[in-house]
Amino acid sequence: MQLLLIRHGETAYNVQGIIYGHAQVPLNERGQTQAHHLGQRLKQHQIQAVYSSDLIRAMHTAEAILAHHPITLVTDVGLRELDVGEWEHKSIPDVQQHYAELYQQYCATPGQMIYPGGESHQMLQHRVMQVINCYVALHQDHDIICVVCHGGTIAAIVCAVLGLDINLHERIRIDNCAITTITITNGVMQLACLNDNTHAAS
Amino acid sequence: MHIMLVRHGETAYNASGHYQGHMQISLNDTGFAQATRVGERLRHHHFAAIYSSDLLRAVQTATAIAAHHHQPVVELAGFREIDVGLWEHLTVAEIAAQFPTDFAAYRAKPGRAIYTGGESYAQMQTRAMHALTTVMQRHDEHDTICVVCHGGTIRAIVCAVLNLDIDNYTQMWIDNCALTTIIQQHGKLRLGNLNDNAHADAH
Repeated sequence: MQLLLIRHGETAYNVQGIIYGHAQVPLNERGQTQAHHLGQRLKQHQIQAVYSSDLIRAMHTAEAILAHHPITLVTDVGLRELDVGEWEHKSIPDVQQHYAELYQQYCATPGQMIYPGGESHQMLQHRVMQVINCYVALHQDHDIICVVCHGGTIAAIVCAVLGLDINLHERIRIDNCAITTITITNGVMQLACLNDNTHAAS
Repeated sequence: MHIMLVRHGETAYNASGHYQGHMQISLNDTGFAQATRVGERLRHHHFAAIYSSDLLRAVQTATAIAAHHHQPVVELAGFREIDVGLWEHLTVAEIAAQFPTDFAAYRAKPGRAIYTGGESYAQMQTRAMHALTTVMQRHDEHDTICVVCHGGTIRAIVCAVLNLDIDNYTQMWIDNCALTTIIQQHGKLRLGNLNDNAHADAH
């Protein structure tokens, strides 16, 4: 089985470097173009299912894939980005100033710090791996499944697959609309590709 | 700095599932075609230098990349594949039958077990990272360098970059002629991508 993990296209907040998790921010023009290129790239793939986070930036990216495939989108709240709580809509200098202690805690243990009123990357990993394991149980060995979600979500899945400490999640780069592939053979997960963004140049 | 790690193209032993380690084996026809494609894919990149393991299959692949750049291939033994010792020329089934104790130790600790008469992944990682650190010191932050080497070597380097336990190298896969990118920024290393083999799909 192949899981194609896809990060949503660019949003205005990505460009401005504003922290957001569950906030509803649409794709910007560049993000829509990225989603279009992604759709073209996956046109020839034999995809059995497309799951998406129910956040608008992910759903709109997923729709660009579905334009070429006669399947129905399945949305899942479990695929959402990290819940950043009170840090929603804030800039990094802003949280450095107003949440100095918590920000230092984030720098020391970026996987374990619980965002005020939100979750930690470790909590995110726990919820998203439950969702991923459900998809694996639902599908056949030769199926190809697209999972459209978020940078934090994909990094958390990759950490789980590699057995990498979640505190090191920032060492993994995930670009907008890039494809990360997990293969599952006899129940064993392997990282087959990380952050393939070749279609961005097309 | 961007470090583009490229695995060599296919050999007859890759196709048949025989261990090759430090032995000198040429690319097969598929391997030469893969090397040509990765060379075309990288032709617009500006490499400050092209480095390669000194094993034939890597040098042949690096030569196909260098053909587009008017640059020499700089060979370094430190980027060689793991020394598989007495497991050279054997399949997994043959190794399991002939070296049951060492093979069981390998299955239990794939990064730390020493291949009979050869190296462990951990030992290979130390020398490969020494080679990588040495070449990185020759370049500055804006440079992109190309390093053609091996599936084991690339995974060991990625483990070092991520600070991932070397026993977990089996959790990732690297295809022949696929690209893996390490990014060095503000003195920190990150994994930019792994096993990007999109140029294989294009044909």
